[in-house]
Amino acid sequence: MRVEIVVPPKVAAGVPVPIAIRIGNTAARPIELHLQGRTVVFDLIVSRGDTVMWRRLEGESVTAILQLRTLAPGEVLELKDTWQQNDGAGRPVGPGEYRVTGVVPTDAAPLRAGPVTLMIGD
Amino acid sequence: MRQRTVLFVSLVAGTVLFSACSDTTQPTPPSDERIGFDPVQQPDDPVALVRGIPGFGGFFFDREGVPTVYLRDVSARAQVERALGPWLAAQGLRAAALRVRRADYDWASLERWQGRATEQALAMRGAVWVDADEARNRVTIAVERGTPVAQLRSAVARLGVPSAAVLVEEVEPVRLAATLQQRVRPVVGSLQINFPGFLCTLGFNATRNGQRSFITNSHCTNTQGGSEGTPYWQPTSTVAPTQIGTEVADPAYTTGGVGCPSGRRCRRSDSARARYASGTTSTLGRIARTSGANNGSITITANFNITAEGSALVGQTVHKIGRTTGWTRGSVTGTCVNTNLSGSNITQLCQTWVSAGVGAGDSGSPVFRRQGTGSNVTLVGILWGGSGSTLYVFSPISNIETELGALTTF
Repeated sequence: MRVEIVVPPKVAAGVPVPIAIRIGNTAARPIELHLQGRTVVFDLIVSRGDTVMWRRLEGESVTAILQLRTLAPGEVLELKDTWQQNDGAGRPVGPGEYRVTGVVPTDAAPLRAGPVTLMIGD
Repeated sequence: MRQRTVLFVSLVAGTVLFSACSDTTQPTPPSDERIGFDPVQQPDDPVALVRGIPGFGGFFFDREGVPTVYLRDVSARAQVERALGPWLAAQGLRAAALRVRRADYDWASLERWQGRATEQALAMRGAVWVDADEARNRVTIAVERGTPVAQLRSAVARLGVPSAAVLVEEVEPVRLAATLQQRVRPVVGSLQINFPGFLCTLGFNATRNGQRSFITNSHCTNTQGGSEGTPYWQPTSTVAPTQIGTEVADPAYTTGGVGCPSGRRCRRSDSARARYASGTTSTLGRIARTSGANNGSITITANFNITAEGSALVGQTVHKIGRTTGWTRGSVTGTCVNTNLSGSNITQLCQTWVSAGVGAGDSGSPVFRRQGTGSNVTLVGILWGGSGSTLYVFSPISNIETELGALTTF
């Protein structure tokens, strides 16, 4: 199985940033994933240095149901969202280098992707 | 030192233990070889140091922790002290601390008779285990209550095992320790349940208008809000294909009610009721109990018994047991909190928040307060979600019964 996070390497300031976590079955047989939520729950964390600037699930209440999801050989599950370049308080972030991490809760260890670097230009 | 190899052959009425041990003193007759002794010795095995001493009958530590040896000839003590001295010193003990008891039987004979007795005794219904008992210098056979002992003794005696060398005692049968994610009958609270495509936790058993039922979350049905006859299995349809129940009550989420924010749909509980199938056994008032709070175990070791329903206040300690994170304990941090469900237009009104562990699959977990340190508990609600892995939210039992109707829970 391959878990990766896809982020454009560089965006202009203020432009919404599309972020995707891709979970791919690289095996020759189906695999069953145990994922949280009726709609798959996933978190995205955007950091600058050691500071978390934005967290997708910050303060959110999600159900604790477990979804059984089968991925066929070669199939990819993509979880997407868009970061508006705001911090947790809704304020625009400035230009600079950021790191983006993805976390997908399961009933065991979470699936993790990244971090990858995102440059926000002037 | 003895080695035991355990083979489980039955899940239902009891479990038979098969014990293998070593016998390296002298050639054994064919009947013993058939049993398949394996010469197993551990590097730090004191028995291996003394089994060659004539008349050695067993070595153990008594209740006071005193190293004790059985000898047919107590004058062989000096030999034993020489042989065991270094090992005892490694344990921080002096050889002079050794206590000697007069043995009726030598250890090699006990092991040989254990082997013979195993073949006969453990083949009998009700037998639990057979032990070369180093603490009593006997072969001990344990049986379930009600097992015909005379028959057992006769069978063992016919194998040449002296009757006086055999102790028979009654014990509880050994059972596999099931987990919350395995098949358990009768069905009780906290067990894993499965409906098409999803896993949740069964909250608690309840009777409604004489109908034997269980309660779980509304979002643990095919459609959250509205009853559509969701089928349930425990633990899964694959492991146990016989359906255990069917959803029969799951009120709709409504708009415009008192306290419901504009544009959102609301209920006061995330709960639904399912009717048990006639062939599925269940126990009212019982919740599966795992080995301890906040230890991550999902192994069922006992039961909790619901003896009351109640509420939980900020600062009080509550417990939940769910199929993923097991038994977690923590403090109530907020009561009557109107809570939006992320990614939906649903608002759950007047919920209770707790600072304690939660994980995917714990939806539906019963939440309760303990009455002292025993097994009696007060049911306070069922868990439906959380924020992260250390904060969860539950629907209070009063809200559940307001929406599902009066329930008999114990």
